[in-house]
Amino acid sequence: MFESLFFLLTVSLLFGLFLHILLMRKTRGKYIYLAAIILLNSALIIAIAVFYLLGAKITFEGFVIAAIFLESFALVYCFILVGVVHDSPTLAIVKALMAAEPDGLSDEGLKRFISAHPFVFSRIESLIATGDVNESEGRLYLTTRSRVILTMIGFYENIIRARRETG
Amino acid sequence: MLGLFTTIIPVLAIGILLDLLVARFTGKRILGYAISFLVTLIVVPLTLMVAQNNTDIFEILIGLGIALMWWFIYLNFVQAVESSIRIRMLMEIRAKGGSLSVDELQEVYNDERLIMIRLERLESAGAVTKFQNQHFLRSTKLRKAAVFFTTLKILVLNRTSQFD
Repeated sequence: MFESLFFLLTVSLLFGLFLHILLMRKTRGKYIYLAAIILLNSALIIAIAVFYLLGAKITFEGFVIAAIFLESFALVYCFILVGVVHDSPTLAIVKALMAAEPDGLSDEGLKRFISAHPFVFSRIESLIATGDVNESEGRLYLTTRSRVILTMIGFYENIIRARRETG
Repeated sequence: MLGLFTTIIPVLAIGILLDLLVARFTGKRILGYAISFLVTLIVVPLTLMVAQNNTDIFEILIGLGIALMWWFIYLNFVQAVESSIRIRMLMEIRAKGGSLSVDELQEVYNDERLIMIRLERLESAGAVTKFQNQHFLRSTKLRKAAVFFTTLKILVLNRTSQFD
């Protein structure tokens, strides 16, 4: 059973990823996370149907494992997409330094880079868009959801005794 | 199926526990991540082979795949907690009683400060050097990471930056 399952998952993941990349290139990343989850699950369903027609024997147990594997992969893929969609400030600096080679990045070039990369504002917009803060008359308010998340983070930080710095 | 998950879940729990203990008593996060990763990578297939008396290579591969993905999900959660700018902003708002004006937040988190702190960290780690007022990249690892994520961005989104 596991041999059939292995090939079923390989086909589903490759097909789902192919469909997702194709769609994202057309739509320039619209609904990127939702599309990833829907397309990967659709690819699994199609692959199961094709494998059945070809006579492969996959038990109910196999379906459960395939579903767990695929949903785990979808979550991992979404985490990777976060790094793909949002520029990391550190990697953006690295890219600016690479673009300035071989002469190096001057302080003037660094200023131009900073003004072309509004990281802070894009993060504030993202917090509002995801419903982690509400914005009203220029003020940001924590939502119930973000308060719960921060309480959980506080618990985790107490375990590892983390100390934060701003910036 | 039960054997697969009764192997993955306890091994992953041990790996996470070791990571938390290393973080608490040494403060070395990378060491904790490395230990939990190696525990997952080595102990899951070994347990499936020896304790479960399993010789099906495909079951071992699927089990290891699930275990490594769950470890990666855990890593992303703790990384987000420890270094995400958005999480830090939320903490700043909570520290000010749950609400803050955008201007006040931008006094603490502004682009110049954000970039300069990271550039200083890169310079103190030797990844970037400054010579005659010019900044130069020295780290091959960072260069590879930038190429990898830029390639992915071009492949998936057909652009090189979110600010394009």
